[in-house]
Amino acid sequence: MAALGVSFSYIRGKPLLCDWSYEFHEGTVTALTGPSGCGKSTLLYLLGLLLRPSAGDVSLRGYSQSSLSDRERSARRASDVGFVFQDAALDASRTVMANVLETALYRGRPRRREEPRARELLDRFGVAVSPRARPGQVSGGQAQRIALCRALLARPSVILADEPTGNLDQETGAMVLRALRSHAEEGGCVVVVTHDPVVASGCDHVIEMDGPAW
Amino acid sequence: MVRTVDLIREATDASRASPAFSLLTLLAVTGMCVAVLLTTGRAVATEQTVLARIDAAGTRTIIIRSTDPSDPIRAGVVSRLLAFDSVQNALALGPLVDVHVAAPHGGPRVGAREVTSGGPGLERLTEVPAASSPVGARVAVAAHAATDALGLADGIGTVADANGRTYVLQGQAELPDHVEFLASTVLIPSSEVGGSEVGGGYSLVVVLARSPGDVDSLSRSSLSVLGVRDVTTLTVETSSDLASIRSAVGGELRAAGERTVSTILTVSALVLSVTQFGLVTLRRRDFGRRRALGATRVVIFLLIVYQAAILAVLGATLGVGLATLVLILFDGGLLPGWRFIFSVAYLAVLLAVVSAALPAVLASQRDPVRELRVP
Repeated sequence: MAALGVSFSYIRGKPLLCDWSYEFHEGTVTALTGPSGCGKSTLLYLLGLLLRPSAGDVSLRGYSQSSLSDRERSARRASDVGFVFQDAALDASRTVMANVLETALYRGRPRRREEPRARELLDRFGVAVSPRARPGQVSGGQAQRIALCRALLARPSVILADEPTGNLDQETGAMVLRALRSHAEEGGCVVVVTHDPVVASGCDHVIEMDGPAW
Repeated sequence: MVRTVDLIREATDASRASPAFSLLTLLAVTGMCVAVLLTTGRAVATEQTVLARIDAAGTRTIIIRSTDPSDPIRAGVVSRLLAFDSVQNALALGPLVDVHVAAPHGGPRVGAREVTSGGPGLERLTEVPAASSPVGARVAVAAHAATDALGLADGIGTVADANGRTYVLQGQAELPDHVEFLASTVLIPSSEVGGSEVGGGYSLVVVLARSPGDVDSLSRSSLSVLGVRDVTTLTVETSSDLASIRSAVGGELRAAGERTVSTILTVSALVLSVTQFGLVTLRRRDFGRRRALGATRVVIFLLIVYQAAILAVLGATLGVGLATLVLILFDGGLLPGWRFIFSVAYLAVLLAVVSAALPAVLASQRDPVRELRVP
């Protein structure tokens, strides 16, 4: 995955990112650090095809993404990109299993076919709760691991994690980082936005971002 | 490609996840169906009953009388009238003769007419019994007024005319509403062949049109098949006044119903729209998450619309069931007809879907990054 001369601004004339380029390699974990408002999360959303760069391109598996339609970008997000948010962003009204299986819906896959994979991920990341439990019944660390299982269900090539340990204690945070690391070791590409120097020090590459270009 | 069945399941789950809004939508649709059915539905049912009564009373009836005995309506008139598409049935009656109870001889006299009929609804009069009585007498038909006048309480007996011809009455007959005016007459079914049995002609013809709208044209066109030399000797009675009343009644009730339905629909649409806007505002972060995980705009749109449709189908079923129960239990089962009821349910679902469409479009077009940052 690569950002190729990417520029982006929320306000006309005030670019947050200007001609930003970087190539993220498979099998690595890259940390994006920097002060608040410097554009870390924005870069993550650009890489995750949620935002369109005002200039430049994002390349995934060697293919340009900027010219794709919204529908095609959504399909890429569903199959090639896994998001992990700071607060896990689970659907509190659904069971743990339903949360993990959510992306199956957007890929047009029957849920029951994906259930074995979901169970395998829950076991692998030590989510020791009933699949019928609700997110409100699990700890923050477990919720974040459930979110990770959801992100990994489709076997995406890229995992984008926005402050995944921000709400966790050190031990639980380390557990989540190990899970991300294991995905990279299997050949995935992981990009983590973090303020935490401990998290950054555990990554293969650290990109220190400056403030806005203006 | 997202599977529709999964999307419907997801919408069902989403309905359960926001019980307050789901309940509001359900109640709005149920309330709409109940309100329409208990007001306009009831009015429609009443209208149908009133119109049926007006129709039964004779809005479709044409009565033609021959005033010149030397120029009677010719035999074969029933067949000729039945050739008109707009004629449901017709009967022709011969000249009036007096009959009285045959044995014991004498008693009150009652008018009798030979009758020839054809078309659905007059089967009782169409059957021409064979001269099948033990004494070789013909069979006649009489309604309660005629048998009462003859003094035959059970309608069974033999009557005779001035020429000594006898007719057997085998019980009281029920006459169709539009020929109820013949209730005090003994009717002698006869074959129309040759018309000889009624002296070669008829003095009275009753035509029932298929619809009130046909009466005017039929009252004119039927004159041409009566076979009289001079049509000015005929008198034609139609129920044009009743037809006007029918039209006025229908128009008034329909206009009142349309006003009521419009008001109920407007209020319901408002409630449903506000509910849906509230729902999509509260679920902004949910939709942002879904978009980040790969949901397309169309999926977000369909999720909201399907959710509204599912709740509307439930609400409409509940509303129709409730209103029907109330009408059956407290209004003597005066129902407006299943087509009307189904239309109300269909309209309710359609309204809910349309009300959800705009909020759904807005939700699907929102920037997912901004939605994800909603606290």
